[in-house]
Amino acid sequence: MLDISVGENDEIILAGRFDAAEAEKARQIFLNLTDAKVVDFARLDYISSAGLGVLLAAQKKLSERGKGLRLINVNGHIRDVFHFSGFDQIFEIG
Amino acid sequence: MEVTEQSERRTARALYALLDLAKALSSEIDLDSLLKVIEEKASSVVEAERTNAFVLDSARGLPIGVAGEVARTRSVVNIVDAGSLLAVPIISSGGELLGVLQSMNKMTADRFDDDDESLMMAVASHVAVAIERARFTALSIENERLAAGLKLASEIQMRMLPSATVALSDDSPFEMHAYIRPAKMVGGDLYDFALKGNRLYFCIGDVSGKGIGSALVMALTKTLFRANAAYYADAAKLMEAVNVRLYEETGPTMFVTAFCGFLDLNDGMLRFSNAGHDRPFLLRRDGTVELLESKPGLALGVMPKFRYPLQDTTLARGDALFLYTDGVTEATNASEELFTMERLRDTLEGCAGDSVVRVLEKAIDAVDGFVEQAPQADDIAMMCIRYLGVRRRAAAFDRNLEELPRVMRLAERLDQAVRFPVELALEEIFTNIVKHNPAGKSNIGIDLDIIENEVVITITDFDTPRFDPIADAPEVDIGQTLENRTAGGLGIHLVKKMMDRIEYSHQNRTGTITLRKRMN
Repeated sequence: MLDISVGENDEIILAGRFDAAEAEKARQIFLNLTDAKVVDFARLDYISSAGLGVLLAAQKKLSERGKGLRLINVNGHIRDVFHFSGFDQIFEIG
Repeated sequence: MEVTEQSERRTARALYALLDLAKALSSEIDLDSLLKVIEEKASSVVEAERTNAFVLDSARGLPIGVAGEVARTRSVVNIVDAGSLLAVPIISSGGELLGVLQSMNKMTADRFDDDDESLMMAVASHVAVAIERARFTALSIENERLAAGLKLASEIQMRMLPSATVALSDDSPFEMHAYIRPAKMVGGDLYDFALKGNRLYFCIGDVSGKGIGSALVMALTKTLFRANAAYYADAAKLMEAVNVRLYEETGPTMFVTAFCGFLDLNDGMLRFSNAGHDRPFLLRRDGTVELLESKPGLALGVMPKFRYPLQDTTLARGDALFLYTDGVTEATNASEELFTMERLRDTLEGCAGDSVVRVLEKAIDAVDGFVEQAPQADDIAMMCIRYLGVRRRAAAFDRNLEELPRVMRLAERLDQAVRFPVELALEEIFTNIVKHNPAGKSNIGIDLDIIENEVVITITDFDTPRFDPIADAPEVDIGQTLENRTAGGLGIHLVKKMMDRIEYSHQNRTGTITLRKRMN
């Protein structure tokens, strides 16, 4: 299960598992973003290439407007995934 | 003249009768049958109406009357009262009074004469030898019977214990080995274990004292544990149940120290209870040795309503529990030095990477090497249980992404460190197959095995053209700018990064991908 909510500072909070089964639900939300956003990964347990694909699409779309996603609390295995995929180069992390 | 002939004839007959008696005595080893022979043959030797042989029995004391007098004075009595009576003591070669031989009513004269006295003394000396031999024979038969009984008891006792070497399948979630060596033929140490679904029940115990009494309580304790373990899934409740019955069934001086537990083979959760027993050692996978901290409850059989504490700890894959009785730590060498817990701990610290069988071998060797020739004073028991976890999971899946949550469940028992990369590999490969070969008519099979220190994942598509997702996947250039990045090939790229080895094979429309990931 992937739980997507909005935090006190208007950041997006992801909780649970961002996998192929949940990617479509997330895609609807991320592709509708029009402004820069902070995404909190603190409660995210898992992400696969399906999740990365959604984030990549959102980032590309936002970059056309000169905006982007800032990812915070990216830890452990998820940080490895960002590193191995080179996504730590195309997202602002921290 | 006539008198002499008569006398000679009589002497010859008496000698024949005496020989006859000696012959009969030599073939009789049972004391009761022997007495019958003595009474019958002695009568014919001295021509008496009847003869009684009194054999002294420490339980009955001396006979009364004339026989009693003979026993006390150890001398011959030859009298005529209501009839004639001749009584002689039966004295062993060592001078021990064995009994009294008493003949009554000489049939050919009014009284027994000097010759009769001499003959009776000769008979008595034969009887003494025969009685001694019968007693010795009876004693050695009894000894043999006792020894055979003890050997049988020993065999029965050993058979009560589950076989120490447990033959387990390659993917068993645990391995275990037990060892027991009583100081005498039978002992008071015990162990027990049984697999109950996904839980391993085990106990080790030590009955106070040694010998037959302890052995009987050992048998009782073992039976109580086994019977109650079938009802109770809680180690403390099990202790309480065994304690109540032991208190009822044993004397006030008898008690049993014991440690019992249930190990959940799905997650390594160990719930245990201690009844005054030596704390077990925890042998961690990395080779470090710890004492399993446990509240020492009261020994079993001491107080009828004792509440035993239930405690728990979690074993990681590869961790082992080493249980023992105090015969190990208190094994004593010729200089009266004890083996001690410290020496045991040192020994266990040298067991990193050893199988449970090897751990016990090393511990036994260490104790024996320390004790050398000194006799074993106490029973020795040891048990080692290693948690390995569920090592093989396999299932078949529909060719559908909705199966993903089920696919993920294959990895749910893995340690945190490998679970994430394994889940990622499972997801990426499974979705890859579903997307690239949606028309396949078969299920997709996935096996997850833990072999030694490696997770081995085998994913098989039974109806597929040759398609090697690794070789055929597009290369990913992670240095590309955002505008030029695509998600294509990203999943396989991550699998390659996160797995240690990937192999692909294809034969008769069956494609198999094997992925390996080392655990720490």
